[in-house]
Amino acid sequence: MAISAAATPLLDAGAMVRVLALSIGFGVGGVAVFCLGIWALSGSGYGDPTRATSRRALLLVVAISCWALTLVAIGLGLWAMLQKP
Amino acid sequence: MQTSSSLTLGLVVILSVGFDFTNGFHDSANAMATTIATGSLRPKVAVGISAVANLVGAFLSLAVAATIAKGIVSQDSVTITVVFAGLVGGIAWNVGTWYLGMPSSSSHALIGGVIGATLVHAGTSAVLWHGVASKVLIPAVLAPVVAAAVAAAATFAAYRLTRRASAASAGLGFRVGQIGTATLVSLAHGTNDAQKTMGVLTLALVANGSLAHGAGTPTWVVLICAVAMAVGTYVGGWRIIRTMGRGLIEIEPPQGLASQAASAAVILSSSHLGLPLSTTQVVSGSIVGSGLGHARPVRWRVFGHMVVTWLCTLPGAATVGAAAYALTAAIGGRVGTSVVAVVLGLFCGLVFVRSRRQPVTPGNVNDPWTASGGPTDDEQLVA
Repeated sequence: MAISAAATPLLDAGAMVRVLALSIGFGVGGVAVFCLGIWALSGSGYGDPTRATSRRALLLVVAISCWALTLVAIGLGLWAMLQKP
Repeated sequence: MQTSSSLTLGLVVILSVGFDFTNGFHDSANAMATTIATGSLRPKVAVGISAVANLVGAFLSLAVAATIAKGIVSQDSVTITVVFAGLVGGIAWNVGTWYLGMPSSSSHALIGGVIGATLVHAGTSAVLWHGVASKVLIPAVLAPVVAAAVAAAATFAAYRLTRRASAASAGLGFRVGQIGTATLVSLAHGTNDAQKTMGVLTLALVANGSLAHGAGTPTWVVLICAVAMAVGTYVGGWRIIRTMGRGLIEIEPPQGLASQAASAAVILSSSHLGLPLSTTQVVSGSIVGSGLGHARPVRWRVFGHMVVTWLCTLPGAATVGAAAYALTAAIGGRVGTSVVAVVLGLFCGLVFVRSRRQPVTPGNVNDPWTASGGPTDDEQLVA
């Protein structure tokens, strides 16, 4: 038992790299996508009737898509958490 | 003998609930400190949402693989008195660090308490030092570094992408985003930390013969642990919330969103991959990272105090756990466990009374940061 414990590395480097990759993907990627939604909503001039309709509609679609993507990412994160070993 | 064992079991149940309560109010800062500091939510509303998310999280996953100290101490050495003394160590450390306003890992405190009690009970051979290094020490070093790196990148992205957004859109977006990510961190905390105490109680019930080996966690155990943590979260550890939200950096809404999102991503990823990173250390690292990501000054002195607290958590709680076990064993029987429980109660009462001299409440939790905690003498920020 003691021998097998000693043979086990102190740090699972592979798991650490995967944690870093997933964290950057979900953390940085998630924030970037969410903020893109904020930018699109702002650019659409939401609530401003003087803006051109087509541009407003396009940017609103971008904003809603970004936030839908964020919700999917959160759902994936929760699913992953509940599947933990 | 049977009466003595039943009394110890009863005290373990009470202390487990107490530990979950301290865990809740100690760690409520993790999820909501930045949301409160940026004014996205009122303090009581924030801890209310966090409490509900913790409660839901505790019921979400009941795979109690989280038997405390598994792989850290030899399971054959764990007796009900060791668990009792371990809980005493964990609670004492949580209450002491709460008084000082210092965030520290509740899990590390409980593990430290159990290690200390095991050392007195069965000697150094019963402690699996390899497990201590790989499950506690190395993750304690890595957690803040990883979280800070992710949060710094996320903060940079948040400011770059929203620099042309209108103030109204950005304000609403960051507010909603912070509430969402903070709720996610609370949910993750509930699934992880409430389960640890459920594991402790199940272990104590099995050790006492009240539960068969291999039996699942009783529903009443799940219920009291979940409720205790939720109530503790709602009560709110305002002293730690203040340190986390106001002490490290002067935080802005994009930084709040980025640090919470980074924390949620790191906690969920590490939890999924079985890497035990402390929620407290991840959140602290994220807040520092969000300061670095926007080239904002960080109060390194406050962060330094936090790091010292993290380094002292394991040996500090272990010392209390060892002392609690030694005192229990020296007096022996029902009197021994009762005396230790009373001493712990007196300590907690004393700390609470002293904390009232300079209380931190929902009303002053967002006051400007000062070096002394008083209203003047603002501590210098260092870039």
